[in-house]
Amino acid sequence: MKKYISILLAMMLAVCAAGCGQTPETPSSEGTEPSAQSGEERDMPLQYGINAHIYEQRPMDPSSTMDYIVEMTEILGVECYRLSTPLESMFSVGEGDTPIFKEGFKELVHQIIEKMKSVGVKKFCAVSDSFIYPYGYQVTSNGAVPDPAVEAEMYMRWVKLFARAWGMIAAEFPEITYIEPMNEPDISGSNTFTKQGHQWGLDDGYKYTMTDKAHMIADLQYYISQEAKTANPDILVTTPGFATRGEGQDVLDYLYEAIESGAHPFDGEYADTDPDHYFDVINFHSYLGSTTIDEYFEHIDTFYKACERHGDAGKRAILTEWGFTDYDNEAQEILNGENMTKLLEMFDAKMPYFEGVYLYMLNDYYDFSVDASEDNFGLFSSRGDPEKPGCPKPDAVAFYKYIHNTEDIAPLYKFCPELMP
Amino acid sequence: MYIRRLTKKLIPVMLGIVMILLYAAPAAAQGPVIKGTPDGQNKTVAMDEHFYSGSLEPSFMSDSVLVKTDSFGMHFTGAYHYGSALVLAAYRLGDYNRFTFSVDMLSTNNGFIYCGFGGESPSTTVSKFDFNLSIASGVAAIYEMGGMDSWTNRGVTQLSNALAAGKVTDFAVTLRKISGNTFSLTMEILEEGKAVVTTDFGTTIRMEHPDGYFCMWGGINEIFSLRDFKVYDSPDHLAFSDDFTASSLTYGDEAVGDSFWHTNESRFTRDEIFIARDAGPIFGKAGDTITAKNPLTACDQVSTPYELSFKAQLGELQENAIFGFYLGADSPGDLRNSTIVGVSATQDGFARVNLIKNGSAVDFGDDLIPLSVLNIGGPSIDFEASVSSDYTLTARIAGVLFIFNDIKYDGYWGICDYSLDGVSASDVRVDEAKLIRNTYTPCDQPDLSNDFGGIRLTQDGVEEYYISDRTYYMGPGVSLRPKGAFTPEPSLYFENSGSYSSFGPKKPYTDFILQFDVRMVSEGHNSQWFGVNFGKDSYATIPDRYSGIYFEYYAWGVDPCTYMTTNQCSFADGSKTQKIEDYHFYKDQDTKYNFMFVAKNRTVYVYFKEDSEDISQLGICRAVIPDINTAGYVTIFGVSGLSFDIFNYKLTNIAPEATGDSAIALRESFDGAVSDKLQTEGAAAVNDGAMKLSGGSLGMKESSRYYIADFTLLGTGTDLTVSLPGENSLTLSGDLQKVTVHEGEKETEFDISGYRLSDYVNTDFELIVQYDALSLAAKGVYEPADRLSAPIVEYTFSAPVGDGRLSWTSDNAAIDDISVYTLDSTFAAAKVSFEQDPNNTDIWQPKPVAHAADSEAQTPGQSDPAEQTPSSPEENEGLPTLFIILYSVIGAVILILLGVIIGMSVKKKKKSNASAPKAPSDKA
Repeated sequence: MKKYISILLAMMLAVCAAGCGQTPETPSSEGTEPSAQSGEERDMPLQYGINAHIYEQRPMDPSSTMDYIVEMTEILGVECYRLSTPLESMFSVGEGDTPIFKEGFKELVHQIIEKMKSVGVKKFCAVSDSFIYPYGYQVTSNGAVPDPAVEAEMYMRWVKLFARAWGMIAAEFPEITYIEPMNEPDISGSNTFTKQGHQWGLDDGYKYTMTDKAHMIADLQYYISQEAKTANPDILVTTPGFATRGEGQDVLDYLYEAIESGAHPFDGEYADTDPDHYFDVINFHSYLGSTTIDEYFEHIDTFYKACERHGDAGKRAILTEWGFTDYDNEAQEILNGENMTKLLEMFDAKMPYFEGVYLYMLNDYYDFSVDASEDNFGLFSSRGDPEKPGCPKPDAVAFYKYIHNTEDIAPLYKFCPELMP
Repeated sequence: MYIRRLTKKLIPVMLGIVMILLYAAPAAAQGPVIKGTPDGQNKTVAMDEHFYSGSLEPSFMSDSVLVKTDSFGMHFTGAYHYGSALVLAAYRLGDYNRFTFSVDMLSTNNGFIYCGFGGESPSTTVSKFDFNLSIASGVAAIYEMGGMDSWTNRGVTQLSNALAAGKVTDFAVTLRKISGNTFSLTMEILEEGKAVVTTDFGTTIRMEHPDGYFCMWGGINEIFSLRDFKVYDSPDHLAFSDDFTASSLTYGDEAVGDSFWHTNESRFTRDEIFIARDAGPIFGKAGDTITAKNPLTACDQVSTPYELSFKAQLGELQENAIFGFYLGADSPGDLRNSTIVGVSATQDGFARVNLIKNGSAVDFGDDLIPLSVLNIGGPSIDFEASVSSDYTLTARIAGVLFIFNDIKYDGYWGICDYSLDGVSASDVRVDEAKLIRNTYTPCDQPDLSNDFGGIRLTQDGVEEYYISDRTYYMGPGVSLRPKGAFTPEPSLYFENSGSYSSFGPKKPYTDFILQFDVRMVSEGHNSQWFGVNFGKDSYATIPDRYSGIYFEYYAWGVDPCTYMTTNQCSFADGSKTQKIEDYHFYKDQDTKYNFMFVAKNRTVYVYFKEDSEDISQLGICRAVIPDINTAGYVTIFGVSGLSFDIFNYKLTNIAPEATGDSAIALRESFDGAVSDKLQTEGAAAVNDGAMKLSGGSLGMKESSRYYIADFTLLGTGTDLTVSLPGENSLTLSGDLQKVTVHEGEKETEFDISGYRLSDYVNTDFELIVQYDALSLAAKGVYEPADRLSAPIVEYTFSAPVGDGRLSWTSDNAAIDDISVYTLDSTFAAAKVSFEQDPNNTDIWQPKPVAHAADSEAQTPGQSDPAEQTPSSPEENEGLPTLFIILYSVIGAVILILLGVIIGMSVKKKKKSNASAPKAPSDKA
């Protein structure tokens, strides 16, 4: 009998060990790696990515053609690209709320992916900054959302259409690693997630509260996760790329609270309170701006740790926008170069939970202008700038040196060799 | 018009036609009166096939008929998107630009087509082009563009006979530099290459983008093809030419590249503007048939579930071949058990109209029509048919009307060349096949009324006017007046109205009475107006996308006045705009006006009066807008910087589904306590939820003047008298064969036996008393609501009906389901105050958390990620510890059981081995 008992105990221990073996400590393969906790050491190299507006996709800086952006991405040597897949440009909506690919734009995205892959890009984070709407539904601006309080049925049609569209993207583009369903819905004064009546640039009314926004985002995330993973089980659905500033600094808490509230999915009979069914990866944006490096770290860390505060510790994370504007100011450019290195060191040393950080952005605008801030986020000046076409700025140099551990910066000056120091 | 057969059953149809004709007549002094009953009928275009694909796809199928294709063109399908246009990307304006092109107008809404000049790029939105040339049938005008809503008229000229439906018009438009950025524009209409109309608009145009782009777009439902487009950059040099045989078009976000044409925004779909050939199926072989892919289904919710039509160009007719359409087939192309209606030739210069049912010709009397009406060898004629839920088929062939009874329509339908001898065939080309489906939209939304004086306390304890933004939409520029000494009367304030300045409920309605008062705040200017939109898809969209009526300030070369203008609809006489003779709503900032719009049966009736006038003036119908979709959101709007106040808003749901009493309507079903708006004398509610009159009466407690009253009469046998204001009444005979209208001593009898109301056990009646007119309509309770659209009795009193109580009396009749809607503002708008902010009602209510099995049942297709990829460490890392322990324990138990089984097995084996003799092979 004693012999049987000892055998049983041994077997139970073995089974427990086998079960516990499936824990985060297990070495992981690429693409499915768990995030390390804050303060722990990074167990995978940080992946570097880039943002760029390709002119054929978004007619802004005319010199930023697809081929040029691809070439610059190759020169920069990053392996991740934040791929613009705006739903409004990707789809028309047919009867029965059927998303229909706009073939021209779809082919363009295929081309971008293929060209980026050919220069070594391995991961794509697909992002949309626009909405599509149920068949026949009209909105006062393209950021308006049917109000679930007064148009519950239309609201759910919108949610499910949105999710179907992302499912189609996931199926059409298996190269996509991450889906970032929305861009900065939390930003104060945002033109997205507004009530009907809102008009771009003309009024500040017709806004939802952050609580309502978080609830609506929860519904979207839930159904997007379902659709996208049905189409491609390997795809990772991130939270929206939260702006994290101002009113949005607590948006991740709001989102967790919405999920925990048991109100979602909105049209479901039962609640699903498992955050994993809503998003796989926390995704946000953060710019140094006028804050100190320490404040910047604290801001990011506090935001990220919402997952710990809500029992979801160890959640994976990516930073799909960070970077610097220089306002076309030389002194600022130099300062940005210094800060670039500091931030990169900090990501490595203090933020092991990030598996990827995507710089915003590759190049300045020149022939196209938004404002002094927005025009000058580039690591490189615009190729259309006659004085310094496609010329690297100090932050580009710092970035390049850091990620490649090299002092040879000549490749960065391909389009302006005469300006190389 | 030929009417070949008339039965008693057709009388209502005839009356309906008469009514339609009456609507079309110019308004009499007191105007037309409301007719019929609400039915919430929606018209949906279920098929609109032009065969542009060069095949029968996607609408039809056939084994034998082919589609013939010929000339190419750029097709505009009537879609309109704010700011969107087709831009000529292959050409930039220069000092001399002569555009020549043909416009083949397939169908027109009497709106405009537009040419825009001076866009900065092929992606430039229309509002940022420098100016446009607007052309419609009868008029052309140049507008300088300052945005979509700010066009400055720079010249108008009258045209004739251009852009009419079915007509091809050749244009030449010449933009010529005068000096600097100053240009002139001339427009010619050409015939055989020569100008028959020339206009230079008498103005010069200053261009911001003299080297910009040219674009074209069409108004809503302007369906046309653009052909043979050329541009000359000098009088004798052709710079660009496109006959669309090898053209190119890119859309919205697509790269323009070398494309000839580009849509400037991403809104036009490939189905809305496209390059295609004209095409149509050709019938020429015996038995040629095309069948619609989607069969018709029986429907008893509306009187006319389907309307179908197509155009046919008849090359030749044969005696033994019937060209037409078929209905009710059991399978595609199977004509054996179907109904065929079509035309064949005769030997005496006439064509015969044939009705074939189940393979046999049906003699329906006079079936000949002059061959000339069929335009043999000439332009296309129309084949039209509508089917009724009572299985009546109304067909028009080249405008000639035929009505057939007992026609089964559910099943497959199509177009056929039915050969009587198996050999003969007609020669016909078909185009523009269309199917309209009429459906019923029930609407049970509540009545709304608001005097804008509702009050709530702010957190600081201050009173403020307030309405729920979950109930009402207030667009930009629309707000409540602040509470205080400067607001003697609460109101809704439209301040400096913009494109989206509108107000209305956030729920859709179908049939309703909308009432409100208006007082101007700003002085009116040209191009300013306020009005009402109907049938909107969304409460928040801009006015010009939807049907509506505008009250427009107008002082273009005349003394300031107000015009009524329709958008995407027309007045009953076909006009789109009418001057208001007796009222000018913009005359000052003191006068308040009362407005009322009654939306019923796809018709809107318009009423207004000055507030100080007698209420009777509100009974005068000022305009009728027939055939308008009213199912959707209804909003009041203002545009172009106009400022005005709205008072006393009331929206009464008059759809049959509306239930429950409200502040502004009486609805009583006698299922419980009787409404306090009613009083009874000797009558009593009976157990089954009806009011048995038993020699007594049931009536409204208060006097009123004009109303719509609906009620159900249960059973027959006893006279029912409905007392009206004054010495007026109406008596329904117990056998439902007769109605008598009493006006004082005068009695007028109406024989209604033809309507066979006695066939019904219970009958719905709708009585409308309006100004000096009375109408009564009736139907069986289970018949479609729109059956009441043709009144069985109409009577005009010698004087307007005054105030009085509406009541019902009878010896023994019982009535049920009474609804009374007054048209003269008898019921006041409600003051709705709030103890707490209703907008704070939390909609995010928690629900039970699903167990694993429940979760799967609730969200099919979604499985637990751990189950999806059990070997994935990533997925397992999220498993809660409890699950891991549970997993381990279960695994352990299984292993133990396995161990026990294996152990026992080993034991057993040992045992058996011990007893069995060793085989020689074991050793080996």
